[in-house]
Amino acid sequence: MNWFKNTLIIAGLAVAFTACESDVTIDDFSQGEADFTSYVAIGNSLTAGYISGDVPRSGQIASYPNIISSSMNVVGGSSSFIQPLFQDEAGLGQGLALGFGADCVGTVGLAVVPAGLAPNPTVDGTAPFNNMGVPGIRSFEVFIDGYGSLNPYFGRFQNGPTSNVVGDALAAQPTFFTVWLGNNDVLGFATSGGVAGNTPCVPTATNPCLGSITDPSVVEQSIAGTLQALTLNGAKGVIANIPNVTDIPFFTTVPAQLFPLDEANAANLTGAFTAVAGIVTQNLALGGVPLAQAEAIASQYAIEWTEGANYPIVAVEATQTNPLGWRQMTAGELLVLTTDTDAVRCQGYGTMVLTPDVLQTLGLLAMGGTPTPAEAAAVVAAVSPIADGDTLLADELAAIQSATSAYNSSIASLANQFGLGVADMNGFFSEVTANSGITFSGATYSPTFVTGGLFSLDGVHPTSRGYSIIANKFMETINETYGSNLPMVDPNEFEGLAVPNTP
Amino acid sequence: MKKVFGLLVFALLSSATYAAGFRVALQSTKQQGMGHIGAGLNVGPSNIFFNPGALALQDKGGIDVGGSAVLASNQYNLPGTTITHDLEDNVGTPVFLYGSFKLNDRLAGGLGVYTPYGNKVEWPEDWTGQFVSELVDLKSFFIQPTLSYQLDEKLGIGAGLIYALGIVTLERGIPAPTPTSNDATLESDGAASGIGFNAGVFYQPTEELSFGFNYRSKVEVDAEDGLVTTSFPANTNPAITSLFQATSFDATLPLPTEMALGAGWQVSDKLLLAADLNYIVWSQYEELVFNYNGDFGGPGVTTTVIPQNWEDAWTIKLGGQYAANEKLDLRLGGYLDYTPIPDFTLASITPDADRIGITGGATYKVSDNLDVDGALLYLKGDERTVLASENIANFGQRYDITVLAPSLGFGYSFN
Repeated sequence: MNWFKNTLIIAGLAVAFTACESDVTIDDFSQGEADFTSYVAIGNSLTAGYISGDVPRSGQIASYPNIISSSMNVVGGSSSFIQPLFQDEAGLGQGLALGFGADCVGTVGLAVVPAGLAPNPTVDGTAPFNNMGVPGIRSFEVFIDGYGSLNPYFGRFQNGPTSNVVGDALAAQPTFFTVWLGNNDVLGFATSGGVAGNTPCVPTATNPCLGSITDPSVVEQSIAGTLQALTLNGAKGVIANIPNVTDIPFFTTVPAQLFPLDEANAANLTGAFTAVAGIVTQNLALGGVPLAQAEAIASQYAIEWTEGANYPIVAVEATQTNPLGWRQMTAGELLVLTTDTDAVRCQGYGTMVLTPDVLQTLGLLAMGGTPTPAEAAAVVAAVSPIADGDTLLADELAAIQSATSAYNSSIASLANQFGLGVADMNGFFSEVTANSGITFSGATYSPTFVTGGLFSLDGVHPTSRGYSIIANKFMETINETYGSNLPMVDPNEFEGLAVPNTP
Repeated sequence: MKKVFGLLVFALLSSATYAAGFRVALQSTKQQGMGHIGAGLNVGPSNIFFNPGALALQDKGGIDVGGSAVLASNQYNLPGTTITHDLEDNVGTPVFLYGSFKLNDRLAGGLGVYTPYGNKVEWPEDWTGQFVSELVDLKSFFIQPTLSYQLDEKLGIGAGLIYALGIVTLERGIPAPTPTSNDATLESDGAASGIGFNAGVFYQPTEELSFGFNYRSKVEVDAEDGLVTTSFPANTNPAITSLFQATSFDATLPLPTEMALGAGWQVSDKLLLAADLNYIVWSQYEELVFNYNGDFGGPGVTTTVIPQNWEDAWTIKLGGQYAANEKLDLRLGGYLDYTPIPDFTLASITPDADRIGITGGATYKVSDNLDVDGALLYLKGDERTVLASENIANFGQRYDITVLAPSLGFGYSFN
């Protein structure tokens, strides 16, 4: 009976070892009332997986719709989520990378440089596509037939030469959708420094409103039409709202108070701007303006520069009360990421370009001499305000804020009307900014450019890590709205930015 | 870049997968067999640990030596996800050695060397909690010379001086904006020491009944000039490496006060029942502070403060011993061990939960002088879930803890 005894011993040991194994309980994941048979995402660059100026294949694979789709698959949704994938990381060949560069004083440091990859736009995948994220698209453009001829990214995978984005999305027969539109309706205005003017624009056949704020009523109609089309066959979904531009590094990285001045430079600049005010007074008086009035107008140009950080001079519209068309920037106003900070530091951009001729004239004035009208005009012209395209001034910020609020209230009421959940990206990004970051499992990420880990090198779009957090926000909203329980992802498992080695 | 570093100290933090907090309850093979009970029992040389007051009531000296193999398994889940990770396989080997001798009829002396704190908790590289902890390896020894005095035939008191020695290695990842493929390691190793005492009173009013109370003081273990080792991949950007210039650290860890109240009842010639109630003052562990000799994590950052705010905890133990025949004693026991770690500060360095322990053991008397002891502890943690929103590091944690600890010991008594 030895075999019997041995069997008992082996069985006993097996029981003992099984009992010694740990087996943690995983949550019950379920789809709730939602049907994830066919999921379609409509949106812009954020939906496409845009990172660092382009759409690398890795960004598409880590796009928030693809992450959401993987979780839907866990609860019985389709395992297939077709994206218009690129063949490689080059995308459209506009990508940015971190490299090294020398600034105007010769200091070599990390710098954002073109990645220099050759574009390879061939699509890996066949229609119908589930990820209908199209970089650059504005809300009303989802209905433009033949939009592929205006937007090369959509041109890559449109169903036909006259198709539009919503029509192509419906081809996938969605049972569930996410929509995130409206960002570009205000972002183009913001990134171009608001040069197109603050008045919201209604697009027409002849005016595409490029660089303008899209009129909120147009955005509302476009999103309403999109939701109408998507829900026609009973599909459910979630819509996201628009973050504030002031929460993204493109507008918060270049400090409004630029490079600090030493005592001597501050004194020299104060003297130079005092001279400008004097010249303006004289010119106005010569033009017949009463002296007291001329002095009052000119006094705004006698900028006092202090040792340390100062707000730069910015271009504004020239008016009767501000004939030179510039003023000092004020707290809360922003400079864009692409502002030429080397020119600020070394060439007087934002203060004054002090050429030898200008210095000579200033010296003459200091001695009590009288420069020629041409010499005096050259001093006034030496003032080098930061260009309108590099700044978001108070009125422009107010226009952006007003449009963003209008878009978001439309999104909220449309969600209500169509019975959809709202993913509050505005509230989420505001919270991250207010808390200076967000922590996952002991790792803290912030909106800080390059080092923060959330935003990519273009300063507007997230890293894959950032997109994974966005995917979780969408899934939280889906779970809350439809009683489902989609599994979340761990943002720490997604890539941040590659910091290169020493040069 | 990720991965990196660790720190510290000595005794620290560690974790024990085999008793709540980072305590190790494997100080005697005999007692392990009956729920690790001993404060109210007269059991031989291991009273140096359980209650030195009983030592003077023993009529002869002896030696108790042994050790355990701790086979811990722990499966982690990030709540709300499908992500799981298993603790790396490790075998911990706590050991003990007690020697006692009679100095005269009323006075006994002894020396104990044991390991009440320690463990190795190693998680896979790149696991979810990598920025909290990847590895802690704590080894500590308490060395305790002891004297015990018999006030009368029923009452003994005893006390010993504790000299604690320890060494610890910690490693964790460091978050950086780089991809996960670019690893760096920062490791800290420290040795430390501290002083405390262990004292007890033992009272045996009748042949059948015994009672005891034991008090083990807090031991503040100080690590000075612990070594910080940073290893980054070749050519890592100096913007990152320059954040970690520290080469050494100082830190202090409190090993908390523990009180035990115990009782024994000799029900018959063959059957002994016993119980212990332990109270551990874990609230002494408020925070863990590291002071570095240079930047550690950022410009001007030379101190790391990790809040702990642990809570005092109870352990309730019951056990019995049955003399099967003249050569063989059989034992059974069990205990409830409550975790001292609040959800807010729970970390993967001490993946802890309330636990239930079930034990069994036996002693075979080879001769009048020599015993061979065997015991087995099976310990199961109550599955514990802490959501990220409840935790200081936003670290969501769910653990299923299982421990199996066989133990082997030898007892020799002097004639």
